[in-house]
Order: sequence, then structure tokens, then C-alpha cells
Amino acid sequence: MSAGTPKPLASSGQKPIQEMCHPLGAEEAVLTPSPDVRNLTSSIGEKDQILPNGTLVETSSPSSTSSLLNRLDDDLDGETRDLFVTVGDPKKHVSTMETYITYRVVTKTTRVEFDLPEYSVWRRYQDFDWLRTKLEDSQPTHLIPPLPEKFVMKGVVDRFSEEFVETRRKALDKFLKRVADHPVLSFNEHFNSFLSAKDLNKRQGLALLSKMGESVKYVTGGYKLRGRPMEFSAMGEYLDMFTQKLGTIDRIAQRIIKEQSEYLAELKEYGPVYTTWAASEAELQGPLEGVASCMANCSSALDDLTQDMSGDFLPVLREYVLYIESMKAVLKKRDNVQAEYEAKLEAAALRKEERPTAKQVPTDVEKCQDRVECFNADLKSDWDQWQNNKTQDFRQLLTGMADHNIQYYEKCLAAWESVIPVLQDKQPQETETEED
Amino acid sequence: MSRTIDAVVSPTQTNTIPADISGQMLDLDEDDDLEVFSKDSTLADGNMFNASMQTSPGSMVNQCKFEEDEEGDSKDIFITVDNPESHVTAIETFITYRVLTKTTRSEFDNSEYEVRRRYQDFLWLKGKLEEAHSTLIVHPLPEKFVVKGMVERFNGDFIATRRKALHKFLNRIADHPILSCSEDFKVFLSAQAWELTTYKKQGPGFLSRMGETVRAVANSVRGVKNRPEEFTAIQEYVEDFSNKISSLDKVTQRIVKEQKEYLEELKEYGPTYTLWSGSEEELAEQLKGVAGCIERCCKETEEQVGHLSDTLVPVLHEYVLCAETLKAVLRRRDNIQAEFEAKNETLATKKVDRDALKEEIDKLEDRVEWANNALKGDWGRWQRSMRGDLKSAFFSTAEKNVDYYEKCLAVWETFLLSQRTEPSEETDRDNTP
Repeated sequence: MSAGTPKPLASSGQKPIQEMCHPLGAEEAVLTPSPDVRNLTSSIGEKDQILPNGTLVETSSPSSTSSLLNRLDDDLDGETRDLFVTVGDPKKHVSTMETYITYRVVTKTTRVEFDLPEYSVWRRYQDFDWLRTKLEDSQPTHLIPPLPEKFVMKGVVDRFSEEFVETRRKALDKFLKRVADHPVLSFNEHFNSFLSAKDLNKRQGLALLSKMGESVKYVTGGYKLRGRPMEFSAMGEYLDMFTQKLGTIDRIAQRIIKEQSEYLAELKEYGPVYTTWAASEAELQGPLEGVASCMANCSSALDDLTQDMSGDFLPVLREYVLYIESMKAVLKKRDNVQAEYEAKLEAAALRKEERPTAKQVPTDVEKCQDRVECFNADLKSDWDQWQNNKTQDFRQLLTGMADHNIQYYEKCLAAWESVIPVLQDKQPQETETEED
Repeated sequence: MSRTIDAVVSPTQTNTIPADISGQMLDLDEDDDLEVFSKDSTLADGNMFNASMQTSPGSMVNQCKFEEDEEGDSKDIFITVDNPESHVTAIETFITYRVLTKTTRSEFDNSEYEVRRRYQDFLWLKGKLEEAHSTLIVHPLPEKFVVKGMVERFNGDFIATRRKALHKFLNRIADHPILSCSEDFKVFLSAQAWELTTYKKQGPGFLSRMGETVRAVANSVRGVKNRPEEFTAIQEYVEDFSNKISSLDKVTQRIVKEQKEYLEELKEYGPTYTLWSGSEEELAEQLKGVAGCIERCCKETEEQVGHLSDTLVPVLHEYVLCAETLKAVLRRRDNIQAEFEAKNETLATKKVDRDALKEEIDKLEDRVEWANNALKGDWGRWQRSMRGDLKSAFFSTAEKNVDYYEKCLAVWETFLLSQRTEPSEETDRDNTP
């Protein structure tokens, strides 16, 4: 594109995305957790289950706790973290109009932007949705973490089942934590209100109007993009590929879970047949009952595995699909902003030719340029962080998968090993010519 | 295996053991004596074997040499069925199996026989045995046709399963104190193909078999009045057993089917991770690792399902067939008793030739008594075999499953271990949970 003397865009040339530095100097933004942090996070870890009555269930899954700590290490090796947010304690709220779940959001912080060091508020999904929308509007150059899916098919999914609520709670917790970890988003005023205000309702009305206004700024239509910097093209391509892979894995994983469920159904029928038969046998009773209890144990192990995969594995895949959708939207916005800048620049250059005495670079063009550069910088830094988070999340996901499988195989192995002595009790009388 | 004879020897039979028939053969076939003593024994004349259908059970029992041993190491006949081969003729294609017999029994001229038999021949043998010994338990043959549709007759697995079942069938007969003395059994093991064909054509024809069947049906309509309690108990057990084993058979087959469908999905799963790893940098190793785990588990699962199909399914299915056999045997025993009771009644109520009828009744009474005792003996034997077979099948399944789960466990643990010891760029990953 033609340009006069205005500053060129900060181009990364052939450098890969990861090596780009945030113009605000991302190197400083590394923190290490204080000893307090470890205690805190290990007691309210991501994977800890909080039952509807509020009691905590400590899980013993090794990968989850250690990787959570490692995530903290990643984000913060340097300074002390000063904002901790957790979502827990889901409670059913019944009123004449509707029934919904509320979650307790607990905040502990030393930040000056907050009046108190601790907050505890109750929020429902709607409130999280509101927050996300506000963040998208007020910080359009940043990648906003995704929320769990809003709508569920009423007939298919039980909105109030323990599993569903727990899966949702985990996702909401992750959402807030990601926002809290973000160097820019965490200082957003709406985030502050979300965490601290007793009552969010009043802001909802305003939200609608401001939503309209702010997003208009960035959905500038009609401008055609000439030269997208390579790294952003690369981002777009990567996201497309990634979405496709996730989609395939989601599909197949779902089919596998379905097959396992069908197999489980058969298995559940199987054990009882052996038990019933055992009742009419004398010598064979022991072995048959042994086999029956073995089947029952394998059934329950498979049940656990299927639930683990449904509860831990699939939601993460879906979450990233949503994440990617919103990221692509941000990339598009960036394109639009750049396109606008290019168009204005060209127009300015044309005008310059006609009236050589005019200002070198008109102010609105400069403003556009600033916007482009800020957008690019924000996006690049967020992209780096996203890549890190993604790696962490998927590492955890895959080790979690290994863990679940290991637990399953261990249980089944124990079940079958325990039945062998029962079957070996007496050697069969006949020495039949059994061949291989 | 113990060969206690529970049969009652009918007083009309003598305790003679027939002379060694090889001498007889020499007399008639001097020109062929070389053949007679050759490895592939031939018998020039099918008439040598008196295939008397009405041979009294008592005499047959006495023809057999038997040892009263519990350990089974004095087994004197060993049969194997192997080597399936395909035969193609203009009319049909069929499989033959090699039947190899090694024996020291005196009824056999040679100590070793090698013949080829097809499924039809086994069916014939079973039919003959059941005809001659309608109240003994003859082990079932594998089914003639596979209804499920998915298995082809000449599929390797089908043939292997069939071969094992045929092998078991012959060995069960060989172990049976009465059935193993059957002439038909001997012929089956020793005659060449064409000789067997000739031999099959002999014997009471279709009509006489019809007669027996008609009588049996007539008797069954009458029903038995005073069935001994133990047989009622056995019948109830058999009903129950039949239901249970059928359920097990069905569910096991459904389980195998589900596992196979699961395998199909799993086979697609692993490659997805490999493909994905190609577009990642930091996650590539881990993704490839997971792909490897899935593929390895796939292989193990395939083996485990195969084992289930080969080991447990055939045994369960075999006993479904056994249950049917048992029901039929109990019915036939009932029929004999019913006939006896009916004739007794006739004696008491109608004006008939009393002497002739009395003689018939006496014979029937003997038959009933003999049948009951033989069946009791067979029942005990059958139960022991059943327990042994099932335990053995379950044990084998358990062992295989233990092996399977151990292997899969190792696969994933190795992967997890590799994750924990991998040097991480960002942090020190410690191994504490």
C-alpha cells in the first residue's frame, strides 16, 4: 500500500507469532506465587467438586492439582498474584416466575481498585453472560475467554442435574480466572462490579444501549483489506485448522462414549444373569457369583470412565470451539480496522496530491493508525497468552484422559484378578483333550 | 475318567466278550491281508460290521473293556479332529476334517486310523447314536447353519470353531462307557470314505424309524403318571439351566457385538490425534503419545474380543444345545415309562393275550429300569463335564482379561510417566500429586 511519511505498521516480517513482544513489555508481567497462594489454590482447585450443599470434595487426581499449580507458575513467575477468584457453591433458586442456579463468586484481592480485600456475591449464568458482553464491547481488541454454552435442549439435558451444574460451574470458574489473569481485562470496571456489587440488575438496562454504541465502532463496513500481516493470516489459518480438528475429535469421542454406553447397558444385564443362575447351582455357585460381581465392578468402572470423559473431556473441546469462534470475530474486527485505516490513508494521499499545502497526515488517519497498532499489539500479546493457556489446558486434558483410563483399567484388572482364585478352586475332573 | 457302569445287565444276556474279529477278517480276505494290516486300514466288506440297531444295551456294555480309574491316565483311545480342507465338486463345495484315532482297544484292528470326514458324516453318527441310545446324553454337534447371517460357511473363524466343536463331540463319545462301544462309532473312526457311504446305506430303513417315531409321539400324548422324583428334579433344573444359559449366550453375543462396534470407532480415533499433532508444536509429542496409546489399546481390545468369541461364546452356545438335548432325553425316558404304564393298564383292564402282553411289559420294565440307571449315570457325568467346561472357559476368559487390562494399563502409565519426566520449558514440573 502506498504511504507517505506516516509510521509503517509494526510488521513482524518473517518472525513467528510467539516471538513478538508486546509493546508494553510483557517480560515484566511474570509473577511467582507466594506460599499463601499454593495453600489457597490447592484447597479450591479447579477440579474440586463442590456439592450443592456446599461441602468440598477433595479429588485425588494428581494431574489436575499439579497442573493447576503449574498454570499459576506459568502466568506469574516474578511478582505476587493479587487477585483470586473462585466460583462455587451452586444453589437452586426457586421463585414463582422461574427456577435457576446461582453460584457464589468469592474474590480475594489486595488491589487498590477494590474497596475491600474480600467479596462474596451470588451470580447466575445471565450475569456472567452480561459480563462477557460488557468485556467484548469495552475491550474489543482483546480475546475474551468463552462461557459454557448458553442454551441446552430442555428435553435432552437436565439443567439441574448434579453433573450439568458441576460442569457449568467449572467452566464459569475457568472463565473468571482467565479474566482475572489477564493484564488488561482484570482491571475492567465491569469485572470489578461483577465481583463486588451486591446487585447487578441496574446495569443491565444500560448495557443494552452501550452495547449498540460501542460495537458499531468496530464493525466498520465497506472497507476492503489490502495486505493482512502474515502473522494474523497465520492465526486465522491456525484457528480454522484447530476448529476442524477439535470438531473431529469431539464427534468421534462422542461416538465412542455412545458405544461404551451401549456396551455398559449390556454389561449391566450380564452380571444378574450369572447371579440368578448361581442360585440353582451347588458347586458352580461360587464361580458364577464371582463372575457376576466381577461384571458389576467392571460396569461401575466403565460408568465412571464414561462420566469422566463426558464431564471433563468433551466440555473442554466445546469450550475451545466457542473460544475460537469469538477469536475469529476479533480477527475480523482487526481486519476491518486495518481496512479502514488503509482506505483513509489512500484517500488522504489522493487529497494531498490535489492540495499539496494540506497537513502531512490528517489527524483522523493518525487516529486510525493508532487504533490499528494498538489492536495488533493487544491481539498479539493475547494470542501468545492464549497459546500458552491452550497448551496448558490440552496438556491437562490429555493427562486427564490418561488418568481416567488408568483408573478404569486398574479397577477392571482388580475385578478379574480377584475372580481367578475362585475359578481355580477345584481343577475340573475331566481331562478333556482341550486343544489350543 | 471313571467309567463306572450303572447299567443293569439284563439276565437274558451272557457275559461273553466276542473273539478278536481280526481273525475273522483274515479268513474272508486272504488276498487283502496286507491291506488289513496297513496303516490306512481298509475293510473290504462292509458286512463285517453287524450294525444291529436293536442290540441290547446290556450286551454292548459287556463288549466294552473298561477300567475303573478316576485319574484318566489309562485312557485307551485318543481322537483328534484337525486339518480342515476344502473340496470342490461340480455339485457342491464342502469342508472335510481329518479324524485321527490312536487306540489300544481290542475292538479295533489297528492302533491308528486316519480318515477324512465331513459335517454330514458327524450328523449321521449322532443320529445313529441317538437312535440306538435314546435315553443317553449325546453331546451336541455344532449347528448346521449359522442363522445370524454374518458368518460365511468358509470363513476361517467359523471353520475353526466348528472343528473344535467336532473334536469335542468325538471325544465326549470316546469317554462315554456305552457310546464309545458303538459299532457306528468304530466305523466312523476307521472306514474309508467310500466304505462309510456303503455302510450308511445299511441298517433299518426309513420306515422302521418312522415306526419308532410314531410310537414315541403316541406315548408322549399319553403322558407319564409316576415319574420318579429325581427326574422331575432334573427336569426342573434343566428348564432353569436352559433359560439361564440361553440368556447368557445371547447377552455374551451382544457384548461381543458392542465391543466390535466400539473398536470401529476407536480405530478412527487414534489417527485423529496423529493428524492434529502435525499442526502443533508444543503439543505435538503429547498428541502423538495419546495416538499411540489409543492404537495400542485398540490392538489389545481386538485380541480380547477375539478371545471371547473363540473361547467363551462357543462354550455357552454348546451348552444351549446341550440343554435341548437334555430335554429330549428326559422326554424319551418319559415316553418309555409312559408306554410301560399304558401297557400295564391294558393288562389290568382289557381282555387281551395276557402272556404275550406280560412278556412285552417285562421287557419294557427292564428298559425303563436300564434307561433310568443309565440316565442317572449320564446325568452325573454331564454335570461334572458342564462344570468343568464352564469353569475352564471362565478361567480362560479371566486370564485373558487380566492380561488385557494389564497391558492397557501399562500403555497409559508409560505415557503418563513420559509426561511427568519431560523437561518443560516454562516450569519445573514436580512429580508430587
